[in-house]
Amino acid sequence: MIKKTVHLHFPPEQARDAIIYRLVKEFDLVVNILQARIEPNEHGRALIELTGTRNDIQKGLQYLKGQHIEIDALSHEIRKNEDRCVHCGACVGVCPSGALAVDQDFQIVFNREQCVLCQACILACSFDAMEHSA
Amino acid sequence: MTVKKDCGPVKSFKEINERIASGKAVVVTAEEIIDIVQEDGPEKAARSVDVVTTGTFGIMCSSGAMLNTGHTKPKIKMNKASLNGVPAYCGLAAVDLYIGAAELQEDDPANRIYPGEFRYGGGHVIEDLVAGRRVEFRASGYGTDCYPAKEAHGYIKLSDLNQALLLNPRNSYQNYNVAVNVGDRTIYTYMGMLLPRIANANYSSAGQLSPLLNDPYYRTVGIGTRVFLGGAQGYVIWHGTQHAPRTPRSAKGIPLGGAGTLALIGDLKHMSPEFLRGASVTGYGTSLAVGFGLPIPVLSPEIAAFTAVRDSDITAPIVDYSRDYPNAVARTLGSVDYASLRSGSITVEGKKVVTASLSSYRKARDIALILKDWISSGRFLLSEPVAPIPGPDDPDAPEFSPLKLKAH
Repeated sequence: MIKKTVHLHFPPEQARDAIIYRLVKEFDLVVNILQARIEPNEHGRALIELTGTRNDIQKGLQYLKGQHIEIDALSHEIRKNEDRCVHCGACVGVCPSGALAVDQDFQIVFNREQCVLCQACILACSFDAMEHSA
Repeated sequence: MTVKKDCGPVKSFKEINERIASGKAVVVTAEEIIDIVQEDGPEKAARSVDVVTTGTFGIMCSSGAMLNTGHTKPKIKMNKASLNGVPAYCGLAAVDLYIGAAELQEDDPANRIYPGEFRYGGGHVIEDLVAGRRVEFRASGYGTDCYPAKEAHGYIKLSDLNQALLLNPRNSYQNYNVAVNVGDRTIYTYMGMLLPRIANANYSSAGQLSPLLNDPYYRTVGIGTRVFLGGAQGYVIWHGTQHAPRTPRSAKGIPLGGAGTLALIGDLKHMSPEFLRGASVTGYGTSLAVGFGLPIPVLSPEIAAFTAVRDSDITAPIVDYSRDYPNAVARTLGSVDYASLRSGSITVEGKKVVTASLSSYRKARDIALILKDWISSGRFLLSEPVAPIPGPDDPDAPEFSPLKLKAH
């Protein structure tokens, strides 16, 4: 059994097949939804952790691709570039996991262990301080 | 300059500057003065403290740089020009340019791929120049008898320019909105990324450290006031665009929403990228974050009392940016004080909402401390304004009115 975290991108016109049900039922995967954001007429995103055999995970991902869902395998991490950070707080309000917070000296601190890789901070930061690292 | 007062002035600019020059001035920050006035009262504080320093560091789109490049040989009258691909305005003398912080690179897709990333713009050019990095310069002209050249291309650095002035037509907003999104999709605004159904609230003022909230009636600040700007000394040159001193105020005189603003100028050659940062605001555009600090001379007990303002005294309106703000609907969803905003969450329409500051309180504090150090060590003298900026009782006080567009 292995674990794999993937980021799913749904095109706005995607007909909503019951993908989670199928992943569980047909591919015998344990699906942990870490984050999901699916809005009408908007590009949808979901961050899911799959647990299963290597073979079942492969097949499950093949199925998702067949549904026109784009998949990012998250081999990367989110990193905070201390030289770019100006310690505002724009990232803190959109961080769903509390990984980004204001400390008592009003500095922005990033706790990588709590990060769920949703990337909202990358969009929210105006100073390129939050970035992917391979 | 005369100081309107309830209690008499206890000292003048001249006396304060004499104390600064002799290294005896007592200088504290706008955070430190709070407890002093609380414990000693404004009369005693006005005698013991000479200057209160303030600070703010936030994105200010109304920023740009006025540059003079010097002449090429043969000379050119620039008709079009760009710096790292960002167009600069050159409807000025032959080799004068103005590069605006919000100007985009020529090939930027803007919001055609929504939400736009706005990777690089005028604010980044200014940061690159201040950081000493070389910038690609391109200009064209139509050729005249006196300026025959039609093209110029090469690389320049800040040190190659004759003049490079940071010019902020508007900075230092006195209070501002708290932005939320009542709509049902994420929106990308100049007030940051706002999640649907009021899931977060963004604010921008430095609150108790903010310059004009510590001198709410502009008693000490005016044209000619020397200030901290971008890491160097700069000056107030006018009231800023959209200056609206007649905004309703609390009993203590604090505006209940956006009110006064300042126009500022300073020499880019002495500034630091630590206090001038290019910004890419997702879905909105590019801009420049500018560090600004105002020293406030404690001329009277009234001024000491003003500088003791604290976050819990200052309230800001909560405004919906999904429908109300874009459609110029004057409606608020209530108001909230900065102590609550700073705590990390507030309650809006019965719901607990996460708050975030778009300006850096950390850098605001750093600026107030640097200015305190400059003044305490005698390196920065206060300047008495040569003319006031309009206050709420001024008969000529401007209003921030909507555009009156006529068909004919």
